[in-house]
Amino acid sequence: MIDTPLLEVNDLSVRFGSVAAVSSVSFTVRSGEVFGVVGESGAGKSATAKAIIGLLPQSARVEGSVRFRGEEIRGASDATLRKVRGAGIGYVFQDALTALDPVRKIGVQLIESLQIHKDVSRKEAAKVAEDLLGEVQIKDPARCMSSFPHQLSGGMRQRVVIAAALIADPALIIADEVTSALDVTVQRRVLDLLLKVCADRGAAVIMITHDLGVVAQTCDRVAVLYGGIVAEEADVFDLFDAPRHPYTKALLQSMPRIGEDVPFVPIPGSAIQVVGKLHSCPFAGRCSYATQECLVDVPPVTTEEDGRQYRCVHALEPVS
Amino acid sequence: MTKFVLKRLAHTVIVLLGVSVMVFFLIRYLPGDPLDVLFTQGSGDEVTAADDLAEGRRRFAEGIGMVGSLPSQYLNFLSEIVQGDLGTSIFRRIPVSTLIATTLPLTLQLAIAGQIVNILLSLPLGIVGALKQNSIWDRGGTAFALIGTAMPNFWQGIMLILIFAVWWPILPVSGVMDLGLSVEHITGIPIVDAFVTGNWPAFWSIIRHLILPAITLGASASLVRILRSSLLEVKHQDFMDAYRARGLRERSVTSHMMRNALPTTVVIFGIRLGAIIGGSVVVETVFAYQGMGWLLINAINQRDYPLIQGIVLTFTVFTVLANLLSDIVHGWLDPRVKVEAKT
Repeated sequence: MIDTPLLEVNDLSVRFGSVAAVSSVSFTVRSGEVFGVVGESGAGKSATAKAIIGLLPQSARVEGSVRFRGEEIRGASDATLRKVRGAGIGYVFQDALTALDPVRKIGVQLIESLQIHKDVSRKEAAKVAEDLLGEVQIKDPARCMSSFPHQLSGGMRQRVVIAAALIADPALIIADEVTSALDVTVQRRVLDLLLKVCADRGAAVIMITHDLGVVAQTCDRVAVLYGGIVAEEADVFDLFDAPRHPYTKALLQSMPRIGEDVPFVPIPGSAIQVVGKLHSCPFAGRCSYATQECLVDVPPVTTEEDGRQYRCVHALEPVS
Repeated sequence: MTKFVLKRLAHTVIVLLGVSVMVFFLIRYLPGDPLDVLFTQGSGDEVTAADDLAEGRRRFAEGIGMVGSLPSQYLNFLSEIVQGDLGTSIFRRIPVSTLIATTLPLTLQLAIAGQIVNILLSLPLGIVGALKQNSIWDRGGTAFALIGTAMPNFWQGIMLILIFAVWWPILPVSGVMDLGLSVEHITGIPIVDAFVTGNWPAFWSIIRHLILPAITLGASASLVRILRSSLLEVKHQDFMDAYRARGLRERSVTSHMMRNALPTTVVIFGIRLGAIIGGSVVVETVFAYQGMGWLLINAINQRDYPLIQGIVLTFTVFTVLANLLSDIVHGWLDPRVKVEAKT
């Protein structure tokens, strides 16, 4: 494969004081694909996403490597980061209500975001912004441009946030729980819209979510995070059909499905917070397969021929 | 908007009515009476017969309306106010409105100078405190503001006089400008008049006289903590990171942060402004600055009822107007605030 990955995350770790939010996470995202990052709260999803574009607070200690189009951006200069942010990697925030400046009009905010990266006049920028608002299915773009965020509905605001992330034409969009704050009825539409707009532009998406349903419907590949490590990473069909990591399996079983007669099984215990360095499989305490071996060290990464990876010493047999 | 302003002005009338009742009756229940001061036996050179004194006193009281029951006197006072008449100073024999018109500009000049000092100190301290939270600058600024707030104004004034006029005499300590100087009356605000007429000696003298009282009024840097906390509130909101995620420079992000912190700061500043005009009483007295506060203290010492009433009502009007103005500015700075919806 001569395919140069768009984003390579290698051995990324994030610590907040003594708490290890992310421990040695690695994955790659290729151009145009939709890559899912799924996990419970506290699994390290948002910390990973924020670490990629260097938006973690200064108190966070970040180690490892993040390469965007082959260029190292972890710990890069402000100037380099500014160029990547917005124009290379767009970030769609979870809560659209708080992701927009409440005292400035939508149009002004969009135009500003474009003019940072592209040498265009205010008028041209306004045109691009208006077209983009139309593209994200806002009915009256001109009126939206001159509105303040509080004058829009939640769904509209989320579309505006998507537009703000896309306006400088980034090659990768990080969508951080974009639909969690929305009504179920609106979620689906916003999600489809995001994927469509990204597909139209050939932009890859990192879809961060706790919702396996979203993953199943939208992603090409998916990484399952638990306790700050990638428990399993695989093609989305393979993952759902034949999970290799017990946590993935437990997660799938805990998901209620309509029309199936299988009762859903909750995972016993609660998600862990890793304090200090991780010295065992983070899932060992809740895992029905766990043995003494799991507590010795973090299980090494096993890579299969088709590229699937998992970190478990008791990997489940692939079902045929 | 117009409806809102009218409604608020109607509220102002109610506030003024309440204040007028309080000031009218409270000063009359204070021990001492202006007539006692005026008509005391042996106060003049010739010995006046007690009867003549009583008669003179009666006629004088009649002349200034101090006869009859207190409630009826109050109603008279009220009807005069409604006609725009604040009465005449008992001791100065000058209409109260004239006295206020000559002293108010001085008080405004001082209050504004004090607020300029306050803002000049508060802006950098508040901004640095919020940007570098918990740094030595932040702690230093907060400590400075706390000490400034905790120190009584009069003491601060006296200390400044001690330092800059006694130990190291470089600044004048009393009055509005040096003796022998005068400015043409145009707006009534000396510093503006001196500037407009190009009267530079007077202009500099006025500024020199303003320095110590303005520092006394403004050095509490009362805005530091408000500015700092409203900046910190904005600093931790998602849209700050959203701006960064779109590639904005840190400088632009900071300027958006300030824009967001502005409404709260301005409102609190406006609310304080009214209080500060009233608060100039102490500072004007310490520095013998002949503004409205200084006049008020004199009027109280002499039990000059009409003058006290007039000044207190003027202070009230300013406080209420400052509140109204800050509400309007708030609505204008923060699109989420609908001025009409509030009462």
